[in-house]
Amino acid sequence: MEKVLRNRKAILVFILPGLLAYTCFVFYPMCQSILFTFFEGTPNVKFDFVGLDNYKRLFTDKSFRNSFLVTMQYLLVTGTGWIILGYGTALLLRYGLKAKHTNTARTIVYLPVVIPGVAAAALWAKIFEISPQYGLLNSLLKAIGLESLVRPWIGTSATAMWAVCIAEIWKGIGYYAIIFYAGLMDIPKDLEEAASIDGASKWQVIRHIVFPLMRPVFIMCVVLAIMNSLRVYDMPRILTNGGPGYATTTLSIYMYKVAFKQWKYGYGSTVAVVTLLLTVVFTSIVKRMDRKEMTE
Amino acid sequence: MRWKKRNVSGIVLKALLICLLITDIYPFVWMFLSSFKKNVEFSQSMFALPGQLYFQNYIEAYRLADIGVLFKNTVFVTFISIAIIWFFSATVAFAITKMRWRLSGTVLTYVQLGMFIPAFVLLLPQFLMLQKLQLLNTLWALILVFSTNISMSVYLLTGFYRALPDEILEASVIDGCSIYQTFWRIAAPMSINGYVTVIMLAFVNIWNDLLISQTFVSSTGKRMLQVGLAAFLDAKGAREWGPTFAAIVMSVFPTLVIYLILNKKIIAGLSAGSIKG
Repeated sequence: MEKVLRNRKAILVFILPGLLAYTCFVFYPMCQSILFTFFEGTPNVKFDFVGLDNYKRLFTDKSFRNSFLVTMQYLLVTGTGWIILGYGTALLLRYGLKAKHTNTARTIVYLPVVIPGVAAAALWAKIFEISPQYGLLNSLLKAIGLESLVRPWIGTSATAMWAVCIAEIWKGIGYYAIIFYAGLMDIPKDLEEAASIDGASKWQVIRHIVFPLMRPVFIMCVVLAIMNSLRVYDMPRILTNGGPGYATTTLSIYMYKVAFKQWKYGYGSTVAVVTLLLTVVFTSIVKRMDRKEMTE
Repeated sequence: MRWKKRNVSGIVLKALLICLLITDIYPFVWMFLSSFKKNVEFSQSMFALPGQLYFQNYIEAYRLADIGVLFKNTVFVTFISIAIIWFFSATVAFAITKMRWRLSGTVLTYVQLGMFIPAFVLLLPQFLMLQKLQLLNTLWALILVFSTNISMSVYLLTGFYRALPDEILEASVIDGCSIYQTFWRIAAPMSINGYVTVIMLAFVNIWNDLLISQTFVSSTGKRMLQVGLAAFLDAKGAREWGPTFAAIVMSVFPTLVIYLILNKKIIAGLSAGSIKG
């Protein structure tokens, strides 16, 4: 038995194809990406070592500054929206519904998550539309007598960012709701029962028993929200294409422009790697804060 | 008094829930209904039902966006990539969880690293690599990039294999099966559920992708569905509302049907995939 499971040749046969493919097309490109940040020019033709120049350039590049701030706003707004609304939705699914309906409700809540980002963005473009005719939102405002609020939601920089965030939140709520819901289902039933026998109201149970127990799930969702909002691309690309002006140009869109429109391999990679670094830094801050509070 | 209070909060909860479900589903209903409207109808009420089922929108969208070709390309790339992803991840995960060797933990960590890397970080080096291999602007470029993205699948399958009792594998080895036979005849058939989850996850990722497909393929005849839809929106989206809605409906349709049939598995897979944040 042992001999069969320790068969070196068999292990290699099993892992080599997958591992080689992954190494060549995921791991190696990632290392290259990091290496590229110290160069500028065209690889294989004239690729010059420039040291930390690309990183220095970030500090004087106004477009980078702008897209960095846009991305931070994106992270803050969509991240908060996903977590709060996702948790609220999960609570409603768990406590506001008869068991036989939860599956249907879950299916509906998760629906926006599985549809293509392009389609979702196109749909929201039509919701926010103002010309040639009012979209769904402006029609609704007109119908309830708030015509003064009718405006080109994605056409002016004052509202474009919010519009993109709302569409992004709409698409993502279900994802977080299902994770929170799974967490809620893991909480032992007798714990809640014991509390309500002691006279706690449903709200008190949720506030004082459920909420503290959900802590690890919250941490996980925050980490996921950070990762997902820093890598967002489809929604701002299709809905506003980074505009109007640069109002919704996130780091991912800026990186794409630098790399594949201006063909600056070194600087494009630098923007990409900085985004990756931001993900690592933010998620480890969240994890560290969690550990600190746990030990206190 | 207490009874009344409970009743009120119950109603509030129900109302909130209904609002939520409507926000989730009404845009889809609106999209579907709008896809049957003539262009003139849009200038009337946005909420009205279509006056008739105007299928011309679909014919128009199909012709203008070349949806037939887009579907053919997307199906081709998606299916081949999924098959390769399955093969790579089923074997790697099996060796990691069921066989005994010292570096298995390290290899798992190494493969999982990929889950934390955003796709756009890899784009430039992958672009250069595909250029060197002279695969740029072919569907094989996309298959290569999609099918090597195995981190999530390996992670999910290690979870599934761990739940397989070792005794069954031991029994089959004692009965004289080789390790390959044990994998193929015993472990694989018992992991169908896990495979379905992984395959669905890969399907949704590849079918919905825009970033990778738009970067490595540029000619019109080789476009993937989402890229074609994006181009159609840029060209016609503002004016031709009816065909635009029809095009969106067609691009959502396959994902939607598969989701409605397999929703439990997909939800389980997508949320399980997140556990390791």
